[in-house]
Amino acid sequence: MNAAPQAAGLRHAGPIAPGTACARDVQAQLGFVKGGGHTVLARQHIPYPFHITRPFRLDPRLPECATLYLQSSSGGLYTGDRLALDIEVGVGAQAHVTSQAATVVHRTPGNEACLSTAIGVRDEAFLILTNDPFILFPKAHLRASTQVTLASGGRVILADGFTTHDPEQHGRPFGRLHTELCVRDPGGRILVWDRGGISGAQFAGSASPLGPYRAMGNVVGLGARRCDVDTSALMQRLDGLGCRIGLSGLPGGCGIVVRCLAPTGGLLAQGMAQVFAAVFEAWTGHAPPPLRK
Amino acid sequence: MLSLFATLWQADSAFPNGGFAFSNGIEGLAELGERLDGVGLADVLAMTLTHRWMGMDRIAVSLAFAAGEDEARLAEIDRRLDTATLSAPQRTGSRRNGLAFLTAHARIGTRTAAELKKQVERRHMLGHLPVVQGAIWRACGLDARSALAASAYGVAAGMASAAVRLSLIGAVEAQRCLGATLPLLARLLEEAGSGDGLTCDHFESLTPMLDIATMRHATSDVRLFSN
Repeated sequence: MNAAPQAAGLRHAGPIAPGTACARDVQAQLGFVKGGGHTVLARQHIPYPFHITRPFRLDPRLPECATLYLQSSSGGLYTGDRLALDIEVGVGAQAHVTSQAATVVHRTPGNEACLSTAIGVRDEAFLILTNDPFILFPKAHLRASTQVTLASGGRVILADGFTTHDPEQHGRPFGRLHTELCVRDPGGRILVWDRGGISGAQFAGSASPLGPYRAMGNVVGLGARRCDVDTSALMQRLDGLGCRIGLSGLPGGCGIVVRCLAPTGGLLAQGMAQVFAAVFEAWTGHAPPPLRK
Repeated sequence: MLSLFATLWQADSAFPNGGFAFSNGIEGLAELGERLDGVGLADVLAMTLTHRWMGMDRIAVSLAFAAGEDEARLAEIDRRLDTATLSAPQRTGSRRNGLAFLTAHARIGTRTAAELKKQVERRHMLGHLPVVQGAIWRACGLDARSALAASAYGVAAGMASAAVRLSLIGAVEAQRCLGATLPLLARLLEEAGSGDGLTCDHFESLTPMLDIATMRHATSDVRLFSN
C-alpha cells in the first residue's frame, strides 16, 4: 500500500478541489520479486495516466536486474493531479525504474499537482529510480514526495531534478515547488529527512538558494556501496559542463547525497547523467549500461 | 527587562560561544567564486535566513525552548534535526558549535548546561547548536520570542563576521549589510508567530548552493573556518 499520501507531503495537499474537472486521483503499483535467477514484475496496477514498458534486461553485468520505463500518457502533470506510485522490491530482487523523458508540470490554477512515490526495499534488494527533470511551467505548483522504507542490506539509488521553462519566453515564474524525501528503517525510524519548498519568484530571484543557477537535482545512494565515488574527478567533469556539485555522507552513515546545480535544464540532464553514472558505479562496481530514451 | 538583557548578553559577539570557528558556508561560497560584496552578502544572508534558518534553526530553537529540561524530548529534537541536515560539514559544525556553547555555559554555571554537556559527551545527545540554544536560553531567562531573535541574529552576524575575517568585505560594509537585513529578521519572526503546533515534521530547508559550498569546502586544502 502506498503510505505516502498519509505519511508525507500529500497529507497537506487536501482533496481535489471542486471544479477541477480533469484532475486525476490514481494510485499505481509495481511489485518486483526474485525468481528463477531473475527479477520479475510480479504485480502491477498501472492506471491512466501511468504507462510502463515490459521489463528489459539491459545490463549484462547485472543480469538479474529488471529495467522498465515508466511513462506518462497524458503529457505531464496538471492542476489537481494526485498521482501516487507504490514500488515494492522483494527480498534479493533488483530493479531499475526510469522515466522516458522529462515531465512537464503545467499551470495549476487553484490546486497544486501532487506526485507521491512510496518505495519498499526488502532485505538484500536493490532499486534504482531515476526521474528525468521535472519542468515547471509558469504558475505551476508541484508537490513531489518520495518515501523510502529500507530493510537491512537493501540498496537504493534515487535521481531527480527540477527546472523551469516559460514557453512564451516572458520569464514568468512557476508557482511553488515542494519536495520531500524521507527514508525510514523497517521499524519506521526516520533516517533521512530532506524537505523543502520554494516559490518560482524565489527560485529565480537575486537571493535564490540556487545562486546563479536555474536548475537543480539530487542523486541519493542508500545502503552499502562497493567503493567511494571519486569526488574530485566528478567535480572537475561537472565544473567543465558549467554545473556545480557537492557530495556528502548522509546522516547515520546510511548513504550519500550529491547535490547538483546547472545553468539550464539541458545542462542539468547532462550533469545528472554523469553523477548518476558515478554513483551507480560506486554501488555496483561497474558503469551503467546505456539507456535509450 | 531581564529577558532583554539576557538576549543582549547571548547575542553579544564577545560571548565565548565558539561561533568564531564556523563560517556556515561563507568560505565555501567564496571558494566557488560567489560575489560576496555588500549586495552579494546581503543576498546570501537573506537566502540563509529564509530558506534554512526559518525551517530548521527556528523550529529547533522553538521546540527545544518548549522542551526545557526534558532531556528525552531534547534528544529526539536533536536526532530529527540531524536527519534533516544532509550536508555532513553542516551537521558536524552544528554539533561542534553546540558543544562549545554548552562548555561556555557550563563553566559560567548556567543551570542545566553541565548536565546537557554530559549528555552530549556520553552520546545520549548529538548536541546540535539550535537545540542546546533553545534549552539553555530558556534557563538564562530569555523568553521564547527573544530566543528566536538571538538565534536569527546570531546566524546573520556570524556569517557577516566570517566575510570580514576572510577579507571579502570591509567591517563597515558588513555592518551596513547586517543592518539592512534586520527588517527581514523582523518579518520572519512575525511570520513565525507563536510556534504553536510545530513538530519535528516541520523541519525543512532548500539551500542547494549553500549545501554544495559547505560540502566542497570540507575537501579544501586551505581553510580558515571549520565549515
